Order: sequence, then C-alpha cells, then structure tokens
Amino acid sequence: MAVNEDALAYHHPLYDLMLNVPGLAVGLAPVDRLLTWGLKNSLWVFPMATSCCGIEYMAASASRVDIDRMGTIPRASPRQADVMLVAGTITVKMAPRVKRLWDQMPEPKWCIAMGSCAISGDFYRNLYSVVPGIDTFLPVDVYVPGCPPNPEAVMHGLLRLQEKVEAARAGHPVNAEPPPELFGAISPSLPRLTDQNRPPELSEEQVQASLTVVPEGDPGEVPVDLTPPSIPGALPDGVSTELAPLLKDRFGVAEIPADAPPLVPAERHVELAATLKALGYRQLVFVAASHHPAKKDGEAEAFEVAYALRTVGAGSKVASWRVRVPATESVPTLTPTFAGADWQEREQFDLVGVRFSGHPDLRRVMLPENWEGHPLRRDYPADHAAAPWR
Amino acid sequence: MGYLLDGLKSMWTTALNAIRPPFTQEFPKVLRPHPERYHTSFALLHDETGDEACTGCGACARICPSQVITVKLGKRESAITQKKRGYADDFTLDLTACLVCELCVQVCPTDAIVMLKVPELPGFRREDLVLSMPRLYENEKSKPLGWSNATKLMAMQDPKAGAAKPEPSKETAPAPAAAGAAS
Amino acid sequence: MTLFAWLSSILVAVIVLTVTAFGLWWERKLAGRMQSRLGPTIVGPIGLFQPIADLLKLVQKEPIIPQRADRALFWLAPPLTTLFALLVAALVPFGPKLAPANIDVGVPLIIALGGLALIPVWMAGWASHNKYALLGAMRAVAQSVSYGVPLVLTALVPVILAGSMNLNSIVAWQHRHHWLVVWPVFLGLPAFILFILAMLAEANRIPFDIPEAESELVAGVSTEYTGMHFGFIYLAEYVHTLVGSAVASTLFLGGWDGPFGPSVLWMVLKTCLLFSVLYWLRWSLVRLRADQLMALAWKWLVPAGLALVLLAAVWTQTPWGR
Ligand code: SF4
Ligand code: SF4
Ligand code: SF4
Repeated sequence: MAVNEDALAYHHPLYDLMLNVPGLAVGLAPVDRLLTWGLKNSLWVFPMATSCCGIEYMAASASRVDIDRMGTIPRASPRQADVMLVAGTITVKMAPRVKRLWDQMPEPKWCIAMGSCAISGDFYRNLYSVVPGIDTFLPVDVYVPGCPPNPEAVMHGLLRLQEKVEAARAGHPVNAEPPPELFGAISPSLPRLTDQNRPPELSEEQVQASLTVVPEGDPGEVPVDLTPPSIPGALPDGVSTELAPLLKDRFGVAEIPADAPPLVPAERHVELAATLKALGYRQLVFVAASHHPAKKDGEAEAFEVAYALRTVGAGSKVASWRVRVPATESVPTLTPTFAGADWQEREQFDLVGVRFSGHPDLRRVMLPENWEGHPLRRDYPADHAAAPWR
Repeated sequence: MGYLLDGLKSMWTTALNAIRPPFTQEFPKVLRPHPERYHTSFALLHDETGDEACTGCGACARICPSQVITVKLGKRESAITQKKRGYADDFTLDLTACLVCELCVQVCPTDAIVMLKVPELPGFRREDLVLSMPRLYENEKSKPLGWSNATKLMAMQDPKAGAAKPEPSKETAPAPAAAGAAS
Repeated sequence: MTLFAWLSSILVAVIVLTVTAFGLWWERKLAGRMQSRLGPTIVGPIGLFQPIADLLKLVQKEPIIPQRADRALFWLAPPLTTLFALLVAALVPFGPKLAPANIDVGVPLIIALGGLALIPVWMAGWASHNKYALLGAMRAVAQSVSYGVPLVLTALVPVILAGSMNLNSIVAWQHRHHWLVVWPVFLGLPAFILFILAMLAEANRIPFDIPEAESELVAGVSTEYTGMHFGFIYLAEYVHTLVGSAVASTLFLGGWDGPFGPSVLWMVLKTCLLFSVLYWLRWSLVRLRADQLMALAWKWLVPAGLALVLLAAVWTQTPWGR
C-alpha cells in the first residue's frame, strides 16, 4: 500500500484558491515562484537531536559554518518549524514522541535524517531497543550520510532540501525509482514509509498503533525512611570488614566465596540490608539482576540479583551480596529500606524480568509500557519482533 | 552587582566580536581545510598494473562492525597479467549504516579499499547512499582520496616501527558543486 | 479625525512595519557578528531579503488551532499584539509638526497603551490551552505589572522637568534647554537607564525574557502558534522594541532635536541607534531568573524611580531648574 501523499497533503487556502480559480493559476505563476522562493529560503529547523550527531548540528549553527546564512534558525516549538532534523539514535521508546512532534508541525514540512543512526539505526540497528531508521515511520526528504556528518554536510543537506522544495513545487519528481539492483543492498530490508512498494502488512494503522504513547500509571506513595544513620569515623578504604562476621553469626551463611558476593537467603536479605544500613552502609550502589536458564544437569531456571551498599564519606567500604531465587518466585524488595532501590529494581524488572515482592510500583521504567518480554533474559530471541520495527 | 559586572564584560566581548572579522567560512563557496586524516566516503582502487586491486577476499566484510559490506568472490583469469586470481564479482558498501571506523581499510590485504576526503552527497533516497561497485571505482577517479590505506595504517600501529606520520596534504578539496556533478 | 491624521497614521504604521522587518534582518546580522558569524548572507544581497522570505514562508504555513483551544481568542490575540504595539507609534512626534496624534496626555497614554499590549499576550496564553503558553503568559503579566511602576515613575521625570505631558512639548523643552540625558545629568541619565530597563522588561526582551525562556517554556506564549499568527507575535516583539526606543529617545534623547538637517532624520537616527544598543544588550546578557527579576523591579527600580521623581520635583524649585 503506497501512502497516498495527495490525500494526506495539506493545501493552504491561499494556494487552493490559486489552483482552483481558472486562469488565475497562469497569471499567478510569478507569485507561485515567489512563494516557493520564500518557502525554500526560510527553512526553520526543529532539531530533534538525541545523541552525538546533535553536537555536529550545534556546530553547524555555530560560527564556522553558520546555517543562519541561508536563513535557517532553530525553533524550540515544532509549531513554528519547517524542517525536522533528526540527529541521533531513535529508540523504540523515543519513536512515538518523535512522531508526535512531527505531527505537531504545520504543513508544508520536511524531514532530514542526519547520520547513520537516523538513516538506518547505524550498527545499533539490530538491537532490541533501536528503531532501524526513522524512515520506517517518518517521510524523510534528505538523507545526510556520515557518523557523524560534519557541519558542512548538515548545511549541504539543507541546500539539497532547497533543491527538493523547488523541484517539488515545480512538479518535478525528486524521488525517482531507485535502480533495481540496489533494492536488496540495504539491510535489513524493512518496509519504509516512503517506499513505493510498501507491503500491505505494514499498514498505516499498525504504525500508528505502535506509535501511540502509552500513558503511565500513578506511581502512588513510596514509604521513605528519613532517619539519619550513624556514620562511623574514617575507615580504611575497600571491602566491608563487617559483612563476613555478620553473615556467619547472624545469618548462618558459612560460605563466603573469594571471587563473588556471598549468597544470602532471599527471605532474610532485607534484614541484612537494614542491619548494614544501621552500621553506616547508607548508599545503595547498584542492583543488578541476571537470568540463568534451566541447565541440562537439572538446575532449574533462576534469577540472581546482586546488591551493593557503600558507606558514605572518606575511606568508604562496599558490602555486596547476592540473592538467588527460582524463576517462579520473587525477591523481597529493598525499597522500604533504601528509597533508591525503587527505580533500580524497576529497571531490573523491566530488562531482566525478575519480580520484587512488596515493591510499591513495579512498572517498566526504560522500555515502553506496551513492550513484550524482557530483553536481557538469556532466552530472549535476538531478532525479537518489536513490531513493526523488524 | 556581580551580574552587572559580568554583563558589562560580556557586552565588551560581543562588541569586540562585532568588529573582528568573522570565523565563518562560507560553505558552498569556500571549503574549510580538513585535517590530514579526515575521511568519509569510500573508493576501490586499481593496482599498479591497472587491474582491480580487490581480490574479493571478504576480510573487510567480516570485520565491519555494522555488517554493511557485501562481497561476492569470483575467480577468473586476469585480463592484464593472465594469471588466475580472485576478484570481487560484486561489491556493495551500504553507507547508510557505516560508522566510519576505517576498520575495513585497515584489514584489506591488497590496499584495495580506501577512504575519501569528500563526503558523499546527501541523498533523497536511502538507495542514493549505497555505494555499488561502479560507484566505488568512479570515486577513485573523480574524488580526492584520503591519507590512509591498509599498509600505512598498519605501519602506524606497529609498535616496532614507531608511528608513521601522515604526509602533509597538498590538495584542497574541490567545491561541492563539482562533487554534486559527479553523482 | 481629519484626513491628514488618517493618512499619516497609516503611513506611520506602514513605515514602522517595514522598518521592523528590516530591523529583524539587522538584528540577525548584528547577532551574527557579535557571535563571530555572518548572519544571513545568501538570500538577496547581504541577506537583505531574509525577512521577506520569512514572511512569504509564514504566510504559506498551515494555521493549526489546537483542538481544545479557545478559537476566537486564539485567532484574535496575535494581530492584536501587533496592533497595540503599533498604536504607540502614532503618538511619537517625528518633527515639530510631524506627530500623527499630538495629544496633551501623550505620556500617560503611551504607558497605558503599553499596558494594554499585555492583554493580547494573556489572551494568547490562555486561549492556547497549553501549559507552557499559559505559564509564559502569566510570567509576562507579572513582569509587565511590576515593571510598569518604574516605567511610569521614570517617565514622570521628563514630565516634571518640562512641565507638560505632551510629547511634542517635552521635545520642544529639550530643544530650548538641553537633552535630558545631558543636563541635568544626575536626573536624566539614571532615569533614561531605568526607563530602558523597564521598557525591555515590558517588551519581554532579554535579559527579561523569561516569558519565553526556551529552556523551560518551549516558546512561551507563542508555543502553539503557527504560520502568520506566530509571525504577528514575533513582529509585535520587534515593533514593541522599536517603538520603545522611539519613545525613549523622545523623552530623554531630545527626540527630533538635532543641530542641523531635517528633524525626522535625527529622530530616525536616534531610534535606530537605541534599537541597536538594545540588541547589543540582548545578545550579550543572560536572562534573569523569575525571582531575581521581581527583586530587581521592586527592590531597586521602584525605589530608585521614586527617588528620581522626588529629585526632579526639588530640582524644578531650584534656581537652575526653573
Ligand atoms: S550516526 Fe554516529 S555520530 Fe550520529 S548519532 Fe549515530 S552513532 Fe552518533
Ligand atoms: S568504515 Fe567501518 S562501518 Fe564503515 S564499512 Fe568500513 S568497517 Fe564497516
Ligand atoms: S576490499 Fe580488500 S578486504 Fe575487502 S574484499 Fe577486497 S581485497 Fe578483501
């Protein structure tokens, strides 16, 4: 289904008048030329700069290249921009936002894909979270190659866009059929919004569906412990001295491996965290989960979550431990003890899929709300279909 | 008070700027000189006998982190030296996902692939950015080549040989109008 | 109204709009040079046609009205901003005989009209149904109300000294005596600086442009406006600054008074010079925070303005000021 550009196109009333009054169009040809001249010489950009390419865009508007010379100024509001300059990697979560901003721009509008990331997703394009090229959901007018394109190339892209604007208003086609031998050259071969032979299965509705921003729920109230801890005086830097005796005496953990954090029973690890906090381990450094699929020797599928705490101040010490639960069970949350565990545990839930019991707000935090599966699980297929991206 | 003083200072700076010559190099007319090792697009070269230098070994395709090079190996007799050797029957470099890491240049055993000093023209379609074999050989003829090839890059990284210095570049890049005409 | 008044009003409006359009170009050139850039160079000779291209482009853009916006207000607000900014221009005398409206209460009227210009800004912010626009409008209102006070106070200084509220008489007084910034310098110069600051704040220009701080409020009041509607708001800002500089040069810099040549020339020269200085300020200073802005108005400018008014009143009673 090729996108019917005429039906979607917006016509300014002034322009319609010119086209529809018989004879007027001929008489107004110079006016049309003048209007096109105005259009092409006043391309205000909306910089959709998400990563490194954005820096080059900034350089393009700075002194050395100065795209203001051709009348291009950045506008902070999409309502006043003519060109959306997508500079940087667009992730699956970002894509609906980009699309929404694009939809907020008034016609006539154009889009420039700057850099490999915007054009094709660069070498992240096989990653679960990256959109392989913005032309899967935006009609791109000019592709500026490079990683990153240098500032001159950005300006060159704008100059090419001027060419295109002029040609389009004069009725010349600028998107001629590409040479057939190059059809298969671009990998992964994905249906593009601008493709002439866009397959019907990637319909406009499908794109729209995956481009809707899912509203987030109410986070609710999070209990926070604000009692200041007693921080002991200067301590020698390094590994915790209290953890091993504490684990042996109070928690019955005999085995303290030298090369990994000790394993603590899941039902007692909150208590351990609270004890350590009382000892001055005030800061939660990280929560890191890993997925262990079922092994052939009978070991069941399991999740392991590592926690690390740290004393604050000079000579800080780190205490870390692991919790291992079968895949069907959940890990008690640390959120009541450490408020900072909230988002970190959410992240681990989001990416690895481990559940935290008692967590006040266990929602996705990195991926879009409507994402299926947990991409950092070992059994997550590498070419998972995050429709319609791949 | 601090704001006032800083304000006056910055007004002084902008006033000085206004009477100094601007830094701007008017891009379509003037091209800023690039550093010696500036590199963007690609070209395939011919060797000293005038034959295609690429042997179709596919080393570049294997090392490419982005997996954008496709090489089709073919074996046939050379029309010039009459020796049987490998050729690239087809060679495509998809610039749309290239991250300009220069690894492909570095691993080429015959110095066949090199990078250019001028960027590819921004295209209206993705296919405009795909460098097919004819385009790569065309680039060799029509565009200024970059400093590096595999031998030089390897020598530069050889701890024994010490760092090889890039030669001072003589040419200045042509105006993009010429580059535009080429594609 | 006489035919002459009508014609001259229209003429003034047209002239002010044209000058503003090229003021836009001049600002971009100036900004470019201050940042070691060139500014517009490609469109027309030295980029001179840039504002025309911008205008032609803006006319062709799709007018978008947000679904939940107040349509009538949304449509009405941008032209009104420009209109109110233009109204002030009609009161400024460009020569001893060249004032489109020579009114005896010129100074209060100008200030009242400047305050009126606030209403369309608030309309625009309210009608947009956009939180950024509304916040921007609220800031603009708060700012203008605060800075209206020092504006009135400093404008009173020339009124007291010249003993008239008629702009033309104030200039005539300066013509007979001295320009106000020259003598009495201890009154004229501070009053002039205060007036400029307050006027900048009224026009929402840097360093007082928190109503449209891009980093916080997208584009402030104009966030939802597209095409020519945005063009009007954009234009109004410049008209406001231009007319503000004209008023400031009338009140403090002697207006049309000059040592030789036609009076219009002097007026235009002074206005343009002041306009450029304002842009110099704009491209050099960073914007103030909302609370700093209010503190500046109420803690410094208002007391200083009051003191100046008092001083001016005393000065007129001394033998030198009589
Ligand atoms: S194309 Fe390269 S430089 Fe640009 S955003 Fe992607 S990785 Fe960064
Ligand atoms: S420069 Fe790097 S990414 Fe580009 S083709 Fe060569 S190896 Fe691949
Ligand atoms: S360009 Fe070099 S590395 Fe690549 S296939 Fe040809 S000979 Fe091999």
